[in-house]
Amino acid sequence: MKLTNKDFENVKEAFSNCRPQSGSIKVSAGWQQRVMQDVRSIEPLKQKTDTPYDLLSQLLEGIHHHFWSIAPVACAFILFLSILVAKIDIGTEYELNQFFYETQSENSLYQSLNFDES
Amino acid sequence: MVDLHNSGDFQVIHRVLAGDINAFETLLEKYQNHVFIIMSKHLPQDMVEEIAHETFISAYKSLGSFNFESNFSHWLSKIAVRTCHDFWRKQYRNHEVPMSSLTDKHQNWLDRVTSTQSALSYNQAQRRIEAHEVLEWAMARLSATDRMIVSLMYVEGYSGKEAAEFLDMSLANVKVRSFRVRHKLKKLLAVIDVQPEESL
Repeated sequence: MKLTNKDFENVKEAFSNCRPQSGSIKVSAGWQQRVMQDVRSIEPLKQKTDTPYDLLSQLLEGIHHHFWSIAPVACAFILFLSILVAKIDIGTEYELNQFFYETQSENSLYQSLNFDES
Repeated sequence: MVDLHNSGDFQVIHRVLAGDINAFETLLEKYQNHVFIIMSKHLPQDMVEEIAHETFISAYKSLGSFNFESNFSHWLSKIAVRTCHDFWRKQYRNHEVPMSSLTDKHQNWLDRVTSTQSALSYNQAQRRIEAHEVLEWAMARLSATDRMIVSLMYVEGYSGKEAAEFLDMSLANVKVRSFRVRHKLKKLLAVIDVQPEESL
């Protein structure tokens, strides 16, 4: 069955009337106390301001908060890069680059492709 | 003119920010019904209390960033809708969205709603249940964000701009998504009578 736009509008209207009415909401006993209990367990709030000191302390707090969660990933990444550098052997590439830099480009291209100059 | 309703809320918020944690209970008492109404529109009934609890905790933690220029209830509504959005995102990530199937009665409901008769004549209580089941069936097949867009725009009747504000998204993004969701919904509803019940 293909729905036309008019059909869809009818369905939308039916959907908008199917949600429970606001009068049927019941809150269980003790819910409010449980929320307040959790609120009291949170440290007192401070109003956020835009002074340089507050911004700096927020930044430091953020770094402190995320430092230990990022540290293992950073260590693993450094280890991976170290292994990669050791395997690739940067020295050889450096020498090759130096060779091309110091030699005439025409000659070095011919030589590297093993073409006869004749 | 100073809005007395807001200025009362602002005084309470200032007290909470000054360290009077118990003053938050005033806001909790005043707005719990408001939050519960929002929750019941977006969540399964058994999750309403838990997510409303989370909403008030988030509101308390974010109270320091309240700018005293907007209405507190509107600010709280945004937190409530975003908490519902987060709830659905978690549910979809953990594949915990209940996938119900539909029966002939739902097909009959759709046939009647889309027939030449006005949808208004099918607003009786018994039809509401079927409509709600079809809606939940369709929403379970959408993403968390699409679900919230359907809920806000199609069910609650908010504009794209309001939905964008609630979900902290751009208006263009909401418009594109709502256009796609409309097509998805039409496709989903179109296959109810074609697809066998077992495969749903």
